[in-house]
Amino acid sequence: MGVITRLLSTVVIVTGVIPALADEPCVSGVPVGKRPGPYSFLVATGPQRGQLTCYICEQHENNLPAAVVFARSTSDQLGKLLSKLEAVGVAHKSTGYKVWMTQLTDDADLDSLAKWAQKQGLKTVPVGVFGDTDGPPSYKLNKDADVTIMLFTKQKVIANFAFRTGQLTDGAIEEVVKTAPRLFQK
Amino acid sequence: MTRLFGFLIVLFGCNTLMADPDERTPANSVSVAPSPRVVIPPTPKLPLTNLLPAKPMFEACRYHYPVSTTSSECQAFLDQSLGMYYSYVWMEAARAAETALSYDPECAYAWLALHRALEKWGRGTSAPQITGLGALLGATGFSTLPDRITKSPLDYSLEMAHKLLPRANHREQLLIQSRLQERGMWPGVPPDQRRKKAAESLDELLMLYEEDEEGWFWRAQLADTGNAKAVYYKALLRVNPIHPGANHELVHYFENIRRPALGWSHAQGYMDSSPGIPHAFHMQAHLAMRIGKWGPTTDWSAKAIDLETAYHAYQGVKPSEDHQFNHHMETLTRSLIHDGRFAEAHELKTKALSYQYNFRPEWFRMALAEKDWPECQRIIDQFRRSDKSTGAYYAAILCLENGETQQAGREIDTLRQAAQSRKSDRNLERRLLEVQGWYLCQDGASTEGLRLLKKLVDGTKNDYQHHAWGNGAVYMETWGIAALEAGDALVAEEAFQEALAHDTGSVRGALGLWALCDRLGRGDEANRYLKLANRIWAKAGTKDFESIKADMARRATKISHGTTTTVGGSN
Repeated sequence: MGVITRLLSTVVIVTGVIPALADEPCVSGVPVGKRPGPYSFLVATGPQRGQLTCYICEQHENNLPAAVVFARSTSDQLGKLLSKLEAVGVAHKSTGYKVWMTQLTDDADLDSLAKWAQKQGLKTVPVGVFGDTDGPPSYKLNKDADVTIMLFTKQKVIANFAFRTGQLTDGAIEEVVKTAPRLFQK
Repeated sequence: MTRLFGFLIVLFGCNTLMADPDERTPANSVSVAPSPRVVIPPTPKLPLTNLLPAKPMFEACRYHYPVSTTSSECQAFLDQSLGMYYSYVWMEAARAAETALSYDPECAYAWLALHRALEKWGRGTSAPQITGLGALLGATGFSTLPDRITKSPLDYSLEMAHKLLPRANHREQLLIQSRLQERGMWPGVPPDQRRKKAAESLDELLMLYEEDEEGWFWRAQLADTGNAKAVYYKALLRVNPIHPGANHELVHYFENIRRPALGWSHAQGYMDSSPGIPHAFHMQAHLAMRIGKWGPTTDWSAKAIDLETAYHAYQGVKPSEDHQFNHHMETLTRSLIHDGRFAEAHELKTKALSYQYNFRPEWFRMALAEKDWPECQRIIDQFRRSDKSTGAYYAAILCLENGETQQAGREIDTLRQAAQSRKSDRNLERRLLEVQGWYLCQDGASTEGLRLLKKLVDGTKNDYQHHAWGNGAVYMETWGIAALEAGDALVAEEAFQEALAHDTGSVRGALGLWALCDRLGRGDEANRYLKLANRIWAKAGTKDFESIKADMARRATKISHGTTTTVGGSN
């Protein structure tokens, strides 16, 4: 009797805690106001395909704005997010704005990733692989964050978003995209 | 007259391949055990390569190209030859091809394979030296001698392929024809049309037999540009995903066009194709050291050396006859030392010294990391004997590592004097910037020192050549160490992050950042960097890891606790 009661109460506690944790905002990535450090990854698409590239370095060199996305998995929603972030830059070409996506995986498959990018209709957004699921240590990427987005300009993060698996809804994407124009404010 | 007799004896001995094939004893075909009292005659050398016959290594490469022969031994040794050829083991390719011919001297494609292997090996390219006989017989008499005597083995083997064309299948005929056209030995091909006509023959072959693997490979060789060649290799991989030649060439190709990550799957395919050939296990290192994928690659490089020493013993090859061996040993040495695997590196060093190989820069780095100062000094002394400035450079590094700043200054003076007379020597210029920058940081002029080191890093960080063989982060590591010693947290963080960005396997980068973050109270980040460092040096000795970790922690004591940086997640 005692065992069953304890078991039941454990189940009640656990099932109660999980949704509560899921409701907590996911914290991941370089905080607002901080400088994202250099890191390089293997690029699967675009002019740097096949090269170990540090886009952070390129953007920092001239204090240019950027949206950097880390993802643990690829999905249509991720493709939609990248397309919309790409579209934001159309009206701001002269600013040198750049968007890229870094997949965190131990098993780099550049060809599959390139096919995914093509299917998503990405035009100028390079995608690639960082071969360590922890990500660059200085970015402090949360293991629970399926997607982490940082918007930065003048070498400082101005907005940071993180989403667990399944949380990158259309509404979440809109929230990110409507923040992006702040990158171009003088 | 004596010379004539001597020549005839040589002629008799060398002419086994001219004899009726049915009368000849194939190499390796006699396996009857001799009685104990019988003196075993030495195995005769092959007449054209002057090598002992090949021993079977049929499992070394999985490539198989069926040719017009009824001899299974000829086919097997030809496959062995082609596998070796695709791995640039020219001597073995030639040996195996000639051994194949000892089983079937009428195999036209084996003659072509021998010709191609001889060309790459660089042997057998000159005609026999028979000036005495030529003088004796006169020009007319000399011209009546058989081709085997008057032509070089290289030309003779192609000539034999030509003669045997009618006995070859249609595919082989087109392959041989293509080679003859390329060499200007086919009628009606003007000199400026040779490659074009040769390519046309292979186009015809591929149009008729689209799965012909030799056709695709040799068509690639005749393409005009690197990209055009790569397209043919890729087509060949559609036919055979583990074609050794296509995979091997694509690894080199993607390294050369500065897209090393795209060669990765081909490096894997190459290993799959040639499980017993050392070079296949070495090649991944060409890419890995550029993109920071060390770990398993070091193990593959070690396997390459194991395979290679076994091959030397089996085929009776001296290391000096194996043109790949030194490079493979050096690559493994670099990898092991980079990964902190010093015990294995010491074993390899012993082997290398027994072959009279010297990898002093790598051994110096190892001795430095192990704090084996007498060994560092011994290597420096060796450098000084042949190159004063290199000796001064390493001596300066040793002094700076030990904090003997003033002595380092004297070594740097020597280096500076050398630089004045060698103004175009970029390597010397970089070395001078490195030690001068570090020296100034130790000597209290850190602003200028860090400026010089940044200049060095900026000048090399996008230099693809500099990044070869794992050099990508070396100067950044020095920059970070000098900044730590100067108490400049901001620069140290930038430098070590750059080091990790350029070599994801930089243990000094990871431990430098661990020490810095730990010092600044950024515990979460410190733990992440320590985890990374542990992973990078997962196979290093604990003592060595702890030693370098303690060094970084000691250097970081110059950083004030209250220092803030704006990088990453700092406060």
